[in-house]
Amino acid sequence: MQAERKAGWRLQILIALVGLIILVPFAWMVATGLMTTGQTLMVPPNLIPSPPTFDGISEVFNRVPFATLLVNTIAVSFGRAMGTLVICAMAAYALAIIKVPGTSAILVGILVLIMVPGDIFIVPNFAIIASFRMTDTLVALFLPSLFDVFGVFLLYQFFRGVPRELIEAARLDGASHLRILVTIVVPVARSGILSLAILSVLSEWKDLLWPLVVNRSIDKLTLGPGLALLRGVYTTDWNVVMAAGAMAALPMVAIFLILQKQFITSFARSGLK
Amino acid sequence: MLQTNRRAFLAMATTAALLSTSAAGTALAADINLTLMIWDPAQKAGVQMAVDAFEAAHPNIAVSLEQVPQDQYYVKLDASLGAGEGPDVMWQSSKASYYVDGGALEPLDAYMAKDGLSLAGYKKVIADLYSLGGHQYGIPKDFDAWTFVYNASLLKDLGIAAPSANWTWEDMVRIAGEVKEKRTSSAVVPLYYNYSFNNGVASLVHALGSSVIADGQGRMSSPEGIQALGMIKALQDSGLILKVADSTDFNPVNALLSGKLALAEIPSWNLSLLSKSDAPAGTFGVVHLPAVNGSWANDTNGLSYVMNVNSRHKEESWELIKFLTSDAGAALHAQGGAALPANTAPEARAAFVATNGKLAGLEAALDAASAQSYLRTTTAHPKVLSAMPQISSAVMGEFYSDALSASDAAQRIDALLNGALR
Repeated sequence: MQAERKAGWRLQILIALVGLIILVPFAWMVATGLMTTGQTLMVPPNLIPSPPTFDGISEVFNRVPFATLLVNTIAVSFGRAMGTLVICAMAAYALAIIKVPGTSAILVGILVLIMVPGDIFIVPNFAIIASFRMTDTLVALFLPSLFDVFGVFLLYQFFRGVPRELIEAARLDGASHLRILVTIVVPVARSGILSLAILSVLSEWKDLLWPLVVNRSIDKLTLGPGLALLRGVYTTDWNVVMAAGAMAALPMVAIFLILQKQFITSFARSGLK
Repeated sequence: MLQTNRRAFLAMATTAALLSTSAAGTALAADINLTLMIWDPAQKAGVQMAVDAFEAAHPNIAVSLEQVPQDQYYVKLDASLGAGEGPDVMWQSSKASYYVDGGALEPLDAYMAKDGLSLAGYKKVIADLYSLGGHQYGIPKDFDAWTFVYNASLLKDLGIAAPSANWTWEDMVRIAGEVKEKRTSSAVVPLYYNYSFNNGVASLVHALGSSVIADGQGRMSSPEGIQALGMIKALQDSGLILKVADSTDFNPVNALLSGKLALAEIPSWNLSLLSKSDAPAGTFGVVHLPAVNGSWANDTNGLSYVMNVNSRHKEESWELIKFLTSDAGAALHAQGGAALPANTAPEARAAFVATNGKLAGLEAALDAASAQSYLRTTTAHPKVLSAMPQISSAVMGEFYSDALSASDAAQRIDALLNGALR
């Protein structure tokens, strides 16, 4: 009993330490965001703003259209999540449920593509978007990401777990593939759907290179590249960058706190972290 | 009657709407939108001032100034130019030759001939950089000069005399040593000397009377090359500069601004960051690099404005380039806080000095630096660009951490340079 209690204390200390390691950088970001530029240059660095100031926050709004960037990010993240879910779900259904001819070869192709760094597709993607005359638009930010091979593979794994009997019963009742997908497969595999939605939103939220490459106007950018514009080449006002970073992270933190239970369940089931 | 009036009103309103739409369309068609792409946010205000003046002089042309972070600048250029798009006008560096080879840049000879623009009014060494294959592709924007900035207030507080205009390497070592001895906190760093191979070491080699590359071969194994390596290493070993291994994140401009650094080698493009700070006038003083054997050789390079070969508005793009690099344009750049103008007009130089007037001794230091500048090794020999990361990490890193002697480091550097030059 005593040994168990001892082990419990150790575990709690370990959890507290890990929690601290995760939270300290975030706390430092918030603290730096509440400093003046002069305070951020102190050697050794101050961890607590003295006195705290909102100069960094107001400077963010002076230098970039933060509200526009935030609205763009929300719109683009939502568009990407919805589009990715529709396309990946249909592709995964074709591979896992219908088992179209050449499924094995397609899956090998998907695995190969997952292993290729995404940045090498930037130049061809730009050429495609430019040929559609869609550069410098919000749609250009997420259109190439809709065809997400990782998403197809993830949903394929979930869809394989849907009981075959349910599908066959629905087919016998004359249900179309679309109806089976929407009314049977998606509800049964909702953990996978939610996981993919979260991953898509997170990925879009922090995307940096593609938005900078494909769009020109600052009012057509998202938070990631918008914040990157605050960084200087030789010197940077870190209080401004950190204030912007903290404000950009806040919506995601709020969403996580509200949907905490669903997130953990979904990721536990999907085996992702 | 009422119905007739209503019809007449509707007809008039429709006609008015059509006319206004048509007029707006005509106005829109007359407007030309140019895109100008740069990477340095610190220079954006200066470029914007010049752009505003250009737009005022050309009411039918609008210029969208686009600043892309430097890390993504060339990725964006590669993607957009490869797809036949991209900005109309952009900054280019010594990488311009790659874009000329790829057919992405417009030769400017015909435009220059038409307007009688001569390159005599620009730093020749920079103008020549953008003359490739017998064509001129860029009009020089700025050039680099290296200076030494000292914190006069800090030195005064410590009771140490500031560097004189004709100071030497020995003076620098002495002053830094005094700072180390008298400093009130170990957080105060006596000196920042550029320890990188391409800038600091190479400049010392030139000051000692040799060069890094001669006759297509690496020459670091020369006595001057080995001596230069040893001189910078001695600064580190005596604690006058921070250990190189601990200096990755050390920013000399920030350290000067925070009053924690006494002396620092600072390039001209960073001077406006000091002069635009809240520090009162006279806080910082500027001198040329400390003389070694009577020389303060320092490397130079420079950016230019170039035109996209796919620009749909080439005449207007040329007008923009011409204005931005003109005497007036260069002066406006300088007023906003940018790099040292490559335009040699007195008004452009005067604007730069006046804008940075809080830095005592700036003009004399710049004149001295310009007089002894040489073309940066990687700019004069672009082939060795590929060897630089390996020299920095595999050779210089080991050398500064005592794992390699100066002569062994010099030999390895020569081997890497020769490999790249082949």
